[in-house]
Amino acid sequence: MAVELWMVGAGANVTLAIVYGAISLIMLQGLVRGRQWFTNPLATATAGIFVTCTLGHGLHAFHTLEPSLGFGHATGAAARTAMASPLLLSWDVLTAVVAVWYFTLRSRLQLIFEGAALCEDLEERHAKAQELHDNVVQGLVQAKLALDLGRREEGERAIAETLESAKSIITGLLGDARKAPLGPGDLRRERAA
Amino acid sequence: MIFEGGDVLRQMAVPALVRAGDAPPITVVTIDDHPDLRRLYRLAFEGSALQVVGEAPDGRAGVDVVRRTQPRLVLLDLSMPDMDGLEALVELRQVAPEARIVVLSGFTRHRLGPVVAELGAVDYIEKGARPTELMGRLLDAARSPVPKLQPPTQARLRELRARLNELV
Repeated sequence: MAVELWMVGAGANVTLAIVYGAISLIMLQGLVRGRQWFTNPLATATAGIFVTCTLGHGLHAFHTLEPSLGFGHATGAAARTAMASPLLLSWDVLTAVVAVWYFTLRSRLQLIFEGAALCEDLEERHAKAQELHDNVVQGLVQAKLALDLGRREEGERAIAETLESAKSIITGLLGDARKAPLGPGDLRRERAA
Repeated sequence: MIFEGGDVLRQMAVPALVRAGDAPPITVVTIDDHPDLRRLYRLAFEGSALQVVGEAPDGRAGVDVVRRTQPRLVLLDLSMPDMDGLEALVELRQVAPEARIVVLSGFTRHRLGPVVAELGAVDYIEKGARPTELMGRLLDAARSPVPKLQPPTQARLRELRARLNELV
């Protein structure tokens, strides 16, 4: 059987569908593992593009194969004619080559997820620092200033309030860090305070 | 909030800080989101050469109070809602060019001191200093010349803001 131009185009589209499908799976796995559906819109949108491109190129290939499968003769003939066009054919082949090259770089896709997680960590760290500043540092400053000014009662009250704030923040931080309930041994320190 | 008239003078234990009878007071505006700290600063300054003529709970309100009162000194916190101390510092230099701005912050000086100095603050005091030390530093600041600095460009401001976010 002689190789016709539309067959080359169909092959390029099948290649594209397979490669894009594999990239989509890698991206979807990363989103699921990192629970980043909503927190990492760049990765979600990129996965969406690859999923839709997978379906698009898969459909292109499918249309050209319809007559061989015994149905869709009119649409199949039209698809083969379009796909044999030199411009479209060259473009599909070039796109397939670029897609395969992209696929060889797939190990770096992890950076999209790690970068987002890093940003999230930094934002969380910044928020915790602010919380400690606002509730603990400011409270201790107030207590010290009040004591320095001879206002013992106000100073002691500020210390008590700050202690409550500090306990609350530390308890929250312990919970956040583990993402699971505390259990026996979780609060063991490496050495005494 | 702007205080009309003088506050009750309270004799301090350090003679150098006590206001001389005929000397005009050194006017101060305190900008800090912690109301108890503002009240305690006011209390600490009573009887000294420093007179609180206004206070504000955030940078934006602080700029407004300073514009109206034109104090000699501004005591400025950094971490505040709405407009933070860095943003306020730039605007304060414009609305009160003769005011000496002293940053009083809960963050350590070694990381943020150079940033606020570049923006025109004359001193950076870490919160927790004893009242006598605080007032001594403020009196020194009141006597210091106003920094003659070019206002920072928007790009430089963005750089400093990014640096502040990395530091705190």
